Amino acid sequence: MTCGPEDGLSELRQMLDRVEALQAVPLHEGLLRRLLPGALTDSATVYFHTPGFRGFESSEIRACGKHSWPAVSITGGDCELQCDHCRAAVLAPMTAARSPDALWRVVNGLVEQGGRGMLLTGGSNRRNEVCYQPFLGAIARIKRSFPDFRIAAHTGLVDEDAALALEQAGVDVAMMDVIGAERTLRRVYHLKRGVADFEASLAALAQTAMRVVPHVIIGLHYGHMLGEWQALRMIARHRCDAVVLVAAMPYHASPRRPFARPDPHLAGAFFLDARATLPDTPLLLGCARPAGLARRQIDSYAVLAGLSGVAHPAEGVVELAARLGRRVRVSSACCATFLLADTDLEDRHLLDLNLDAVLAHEAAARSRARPVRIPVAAVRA
Amino acid sequence: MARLRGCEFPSGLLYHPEHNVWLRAEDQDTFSLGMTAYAVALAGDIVAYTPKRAGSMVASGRSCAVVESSKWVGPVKTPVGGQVLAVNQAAMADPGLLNREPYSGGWVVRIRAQGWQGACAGLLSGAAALAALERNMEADGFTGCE
Repeated sequence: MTCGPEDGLSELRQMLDRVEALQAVPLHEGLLRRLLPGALTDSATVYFHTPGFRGFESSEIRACGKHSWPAVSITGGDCELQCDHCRAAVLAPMTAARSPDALWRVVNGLVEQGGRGMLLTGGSNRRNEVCYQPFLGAIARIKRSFPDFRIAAHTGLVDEDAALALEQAGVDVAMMDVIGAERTLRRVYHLKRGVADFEASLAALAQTAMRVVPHVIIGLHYGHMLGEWQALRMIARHRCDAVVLVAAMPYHASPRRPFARPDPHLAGAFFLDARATLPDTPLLLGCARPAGLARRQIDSYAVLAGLSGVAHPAEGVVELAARLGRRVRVSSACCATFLLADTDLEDRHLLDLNLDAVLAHEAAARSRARPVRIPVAAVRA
Repeated sequence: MARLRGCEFPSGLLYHPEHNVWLRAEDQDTFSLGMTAYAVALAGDIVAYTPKRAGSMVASGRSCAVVESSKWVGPVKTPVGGQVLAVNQAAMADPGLLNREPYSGGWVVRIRAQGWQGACAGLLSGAAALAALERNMEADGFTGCE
């Protein structure tokens, strides 16, 4: 019997093969070797999030309804920035609340239907600022009336006053995309502001009492990586509660300025880089990433890299986490609420996977292969 | 061809309104399955179609494919279990086929049914199918196919 990295890689390959939905998913051997030490020894909890701003159902997680954590846009589908990767497409399916009264009505409706929170966002002006100022009173009224209703807001660029105003209105979680390449800002965002403005915004948010959860978009430079590592270094210099990693989706770009699909294997390697740069910060895989095979690859790498959460997981990924010995939790809340995800945000009923059967099968398979080296945690959903 | 709220529903097909799919018997125990025009309208522009592999078994009521759009990701469920005989290679290369040709080029899977004669008794056709689909549209607040 061999013992060592090759043995571990074989063990990991066999485990991946036991997940039917991942059997035809090619994963990079060199990257698997790099992921191996953490993959087979990390027994931490992994949260699978299913916020309702994208309809979601899989064979492992049941649908949870569109009123559970919807996305609400204070500009409807309008955005002045018209970045090349999005062109406001992500705003289109969101619930529009273009006035403070409309926002109040929307939230009242959500609360009546059992909603526990929302993603609050909106299109930017040409300075990459989301104009929340007229809505601050409504946000404060919402938080006074429904203190348990969580608000996770995409802030855009802010100065200290704007960050403080969001905090005082009662926003629970502040999120912003952190961009680390001037060239990406100029070309993709058409923005006449610099990387330093993004770091200053992050610093302003970090000085508030809000949970700060910056996002890094993998492949933001037309599908290729450019400023992502600089973004990690910027984040490392500030107090952040978690970091959401997403990957650029190539579907909304114009044919004249197309986006390539980000390389899933490079995304997987970036998870390890992020883990190394931010060793004490929870890392989460957010909602946005390419579909199909790429999504299954990226999601597999995310679990193998020990990320703390995955939003809208691809088929087989929950089972993979269980087989790796992770404690599986499901929440219909936005993944940026990771640190708020106490028991009242857990939705055990959404899990549609017999974890006991998976664990028993995994334990049996391992015992047939060799003496069990890694104990499988007793997981209950 | 019947129309409901602008969505086409060809006659001659069997429908399962709950899963929002159509089925067409190909021979004694084989059927093709696809999403209805209503289902693809709900999904929006489909950007990925990932079927179960040919040769694999799928149980009744379980997923035979995963479909993704920018606003939805979810399973296409088969009301009749069996073995997946064929998947739509053209749709894997061009998932928009499911939107453009839901009843022809955008088929999802072909399945050799386990107990087709018994299972197909639970499927609807004609007026009964249309009535059930209309009830679902009403419940969904569906405004119509474009």
